Formats: sequence, structure tokens, C-alpha cells
Amino acid sequence: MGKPLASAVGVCSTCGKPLNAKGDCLACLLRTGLEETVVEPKPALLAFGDFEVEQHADGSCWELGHGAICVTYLAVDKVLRRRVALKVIEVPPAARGSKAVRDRFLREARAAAALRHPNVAPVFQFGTSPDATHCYYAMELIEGETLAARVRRDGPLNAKEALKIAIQIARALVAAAAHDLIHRDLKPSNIMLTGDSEVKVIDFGLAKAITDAGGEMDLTHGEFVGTPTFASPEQFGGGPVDARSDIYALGGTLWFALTGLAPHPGKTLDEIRDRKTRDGLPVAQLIARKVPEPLVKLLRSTLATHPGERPASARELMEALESCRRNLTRRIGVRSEEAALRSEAFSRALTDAKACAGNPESLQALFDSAAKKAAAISRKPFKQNWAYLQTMLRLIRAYHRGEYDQVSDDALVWIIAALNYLVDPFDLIPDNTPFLGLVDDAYVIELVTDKTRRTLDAFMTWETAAR
Amino acid sequence: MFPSTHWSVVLAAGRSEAEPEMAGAALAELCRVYWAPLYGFVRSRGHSVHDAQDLTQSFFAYVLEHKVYARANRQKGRFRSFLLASLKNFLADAADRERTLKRGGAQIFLPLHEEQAQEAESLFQTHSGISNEDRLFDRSWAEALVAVALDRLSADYKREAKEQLFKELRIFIAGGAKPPPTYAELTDRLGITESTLRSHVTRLRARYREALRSEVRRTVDSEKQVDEELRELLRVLTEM
Repeated sequence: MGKPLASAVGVCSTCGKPLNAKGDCLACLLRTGLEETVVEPKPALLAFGDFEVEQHADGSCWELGHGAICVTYLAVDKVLRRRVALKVIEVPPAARGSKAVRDRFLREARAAAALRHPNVAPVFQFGTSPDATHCYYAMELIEGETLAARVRRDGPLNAKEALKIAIQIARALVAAAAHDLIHRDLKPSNIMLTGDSEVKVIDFGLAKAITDAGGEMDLTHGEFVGTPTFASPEQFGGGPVDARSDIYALGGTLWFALTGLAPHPGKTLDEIRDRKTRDGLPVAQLIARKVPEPLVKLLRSTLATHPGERPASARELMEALESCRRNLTRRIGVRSEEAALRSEAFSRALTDAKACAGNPESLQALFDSAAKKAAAISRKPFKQNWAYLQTMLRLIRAYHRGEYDQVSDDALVWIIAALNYLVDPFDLIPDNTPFLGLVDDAYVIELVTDKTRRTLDAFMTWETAAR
Repeated sequence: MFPSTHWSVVLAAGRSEAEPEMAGAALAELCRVYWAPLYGFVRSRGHSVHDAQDLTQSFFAYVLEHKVYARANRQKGRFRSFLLASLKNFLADAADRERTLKRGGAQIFLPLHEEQAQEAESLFQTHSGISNEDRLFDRSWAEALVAVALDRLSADYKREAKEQLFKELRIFIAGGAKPPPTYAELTDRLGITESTLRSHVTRLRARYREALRSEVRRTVDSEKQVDEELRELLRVLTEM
């Protein structure tokens, strides 16, 4: 009895200690009791076709991003030995093995592969896992960050920066339109920014081509794939989706860039859908961020609930965006040199004007100064603004003559302050702006009261009648 | 409050007159877990297989009959040390040994299963190269401890109808000559996702850890001593 158990069963592959007769490592077993970690096997390399997913030092897969049913990995093309961004999508069970889905994916894949544009991350290769549970495609690895990450890090962008990005996205959409390709999931996290804010749109068409397959877009059953925040209202309804959906999504993306907020946020699909279709746009967010009116107007049309009210094509949108930028550049070009100074100057002018309001001598000095500037301004060939300025001057003169019933003290303070402030008002005052036209300065808009407006209106009426 | 230990089992055995069933169960428990280490120690003293069996059986009877446990200072020593010291005293006392062997009383209290005896002998043969009898005892003790923990865990998995899972994942706690299979291999074999597999492994390790510590806890007097006992056993192993 009692034959010796096979003692020469070797050593533990994990810790190198001799194994016991049963082939177990007593040392590992005791160590586990001490809560010391037994070294786990390094997970196998994750590979899809020619692509091998990179691993962190701890053996975990190197994720660049992930969505509800997809993960983007940093991977290596084993054949060409270059790094790529590999997007791996779990095919919904209902779509697996479906010829229609496969054909659709291939069609989209081919279209995306044919799309070559400086603002689109090129797609290198497509494939499916042997068991058809996953699709994958390799894209150019863009060194940079997403627009979403940029805004999260630095806060909302200014109009100039946001427009620069939006125009590049629009160019990518124009190029896509030439291939009858719709993105369908345009959003800040699908916009890659390189160091110089050069845009690369990623994931053209492909992810949605798979996930939409087989009617999985039945939103009422919570099957919406990805974030619905930037999707167009028609995408919620499961109706036909065309390039105008991308236009809507671009509008939402631009809105996010300008404000750091989504135009119609919500915690549930229903809430977002209802807001998109029922609520108006929260334009106050744009005004608070001093977004120029033409851009506000463009965003209104881009984010229209009905596709027919949006720009009809990506090209039309691109041209409108470029027009906004030209406008902005002209205005910002002047402002950029003096904006800070003016803001400070206006604050100083306001303080001065308030101090002078009850002091005729000081007020005279201030008036003289304002008149001198107004005289210089008057040489500018902008008739409409000139009319406002003339009105202001008349108000000041009326006040000076003691016609206090025509002009309130408060109104005079603001008028003088504005005149002192407006070194070059023609670059600040939009043509259709009533009264002072200081739309670029929310501070002034807040402070120029209705009473002042009414006073001025009354004065003009009076002066017209007097003539 | 530290949970009941094997010390309490010994004490329960001491009340055998009042509660013979409990005493029997306690003794059976002792015998089951520590029979092999004690037997191996006796064998290492040069006794034959049959003598060693009898002596080991007699030792347990002796412990009960003389209420040796009653003299043990629970606060000063671990149960392992207490048993080994008691066994050494028992073996040194030839008169006691002769008397017990003549009585054959051990058979009354401790039915010895053939399989158990064979396993203990095999274990002894495997470790017969260990010259230090104390080290041999400690090593066998460690074997007994982890065997109990693994057996309990295996039974738990079986009860949960996860026997196959336990067999596949056992290598992650028990090690082996071959490297553990990759997660990819296992996911294919088990038909589960990698994340599920990882959580299974994590859970298994946690459950085993608790099973082992629970077993050690029965032989010591405080949670701190659980760690000390495991470290000491580990040290003994690494010094061999």
C-alpha cells in the first residue's frame, strides 16, 4: 500500500516552486490565502485579421475610445507594420448571418474606402470575425484629440475657432456627398483635431451601417445606438435619413463647440426626442457666449426640426459657414486689436459719465470729448449708424441746453459713455441693430434700458416733428 | 468574536460523556483533516505502516481519553504546535503507547478508512526525502489545509452546477507545471466572454482565499494569527 505519489511532477510554471503530488503548487495556494496575487496569465493578444491590438504594460487592451457596442483600439497592422485605429463593432445578434446586412456593410465600406479627403480619416481595411459576431475596420491613427475632449478640457471655443472646425467638417460632408455617403453619427467625439485644429472626421457611415441593420433603429425600444444627442429628429422617427441629417448633426456639433452644451440635452431617449421636436432652441446660450447674429441665424436653420428648412446640401451649408467666417473676420479683425482695450475703456467711460451726470462742468468736458470723437466718427460712410450717432449727439446737445425733459439723466450717461467707448463703432454695430448697436457687448445691452430707448425714440419723433 | 476553531472541536470532544455524538463528530473531523500529517510524522520516526496507523489512531484516543486538550494553553500555541507537541510526548512515552496498542481502543473511536490510510502513506512516501520530521509534519499540515479548502470549494461549485468551471479554472489558484491557458482559449472552450471569464477567475480566487483562511482560522486564535500561520507554512515550504 501507499505507493509514493509522483513526486517529480515538476515545478510551478507561475512561481517556480516544486509542485505537490497532485500537481498543485502549495506555495501558490498558500500565497492566495495571504491575498498575495498569483500572477495571472497574460491575456492573449486580441487580433482581427491582420491587426493586433496593442496592450498596456498590465496586459490590458489599449482602448482609444468606446461606444455602446463598439470599441476603438490602438492596433498594429502586422503586414505593413504601422499603427492604426481599429474599430471593432459587435454585430447585433439579429443582424448576424444576414446577407442584406453584409451587403449593406460592404457597400458602405466600399464607399467609405473610396472617400479620400484631407478632412476625413482614411479607412484602410475592413473585415468580419470568423464567427460573424464582429465587424472591424482600420483607420488612419490620428494623433490628436476629439472635439468633445478639447471642449471638455478648454471649455467652449470662440466663434472663429468653432467656425474653422465646422467648415472643415462641412468640406468633409461635401466630399462624402459626392460618394452618396452619409455619416449618420456625426458628433463631437467623431471629430478628431490635430495640433493645429485640422479636422479629421472619423467613422463615416460604417458604424451605423451595421447597427442600423435589421430595424435595430427602433428607438422606442431603446435600441438607439450611440449618443442620440446630436442625431436629427428624423433619425428618431426611423424615417428616411439623408444628407440633411448630417447637416443637423453638424449644427449640433457646432453648437456644442460654441457653448460646451448640446442644444437639446436629456437623460432619456424620449426626453431628447421630445425636446428636439417640441422645444425651441435655447438661443440664450449662444447670446451668452456672444455668438454673432449671422451665425446664430445659420444655426437656427441648420438645427431646424424639418429637414426642408435646413440648408439643402452640405455645399450650401459650407458656403454659409464661410460667409459667417468672412463676416466675423472683418469684424473680429478690428476687434482683435482693441477688444480688450475697448472693454476696459467702456468701463472707464461709464464710470466717468456717471460721475459727471450731476456736475455741469464735468459734463461739459465730457461732452466736448464725445463731440470730438463723434465728429471723427461722422466721417465714416455708414449712413445708418451715422443716424444713430447723430441722434445721440442731438440728445447730448438737448441735455446741454437744459432740455432735460427730452432726455433722462440715465440715458445721457449711457450715451456719453457709449460715445467715449465707440472709437470705431462701424465695426461693432450690425446694420440692423437698433439704437446703440452694441450687440457685441452683452454688458451694454443689459444696461441700455428700455427707458433709454423710449427716450431716444421720443426725441427723434420730437425732432422730426420740429423740422 | 473570533469564530469557533478546531480547538472548540477538541473541547467538544471532551464532552463526549455528555454529548457522545458531538464528541464523535469532532473527533472524526480532527481525524479527517490531521490524520495524514500525524501519521506521516509517526512514520518518519521509523514505525511500520501498520504500527504507524495504530499509533496515530491511538494518539487520537489518547488525546480524548486523557483530555490532553484540557491542558493545552489555547492562548500560547497554535493547534498545529499543540498537536505535534502532544504527539511527540505520546510517542516518547513507551508505556502509554504499549498500553494503548494493547487496548486497541482507537478503533472504537476512530474508524480508519483504507483509502485515507493509503493516501497518508503515499504522502509520506512522497515526502520521505525530508529529513527534518518537524518540517515534514508542517508540509503535510499545509497539504491538509489547502486540500480541505479546495475540497470545500469544489463541493460548493458542484452544488452550484459549476463543476466544469471549477475544473477549468482551478489552475488559476493551484498553479501547475503547464502555464495556465490563455483567456482566449478558455473563452472558446467555455463559451463565455473574456470579461465574464475574468470575473469568474476573480471570484474563484476570492472564494478560495476565504475558504483557506477559514480553515486556518479554526486552528489559531486570532485573525492576525491566520496571516502568521500562513506565512510560517509558506516559509517552511520555501526553505525546503
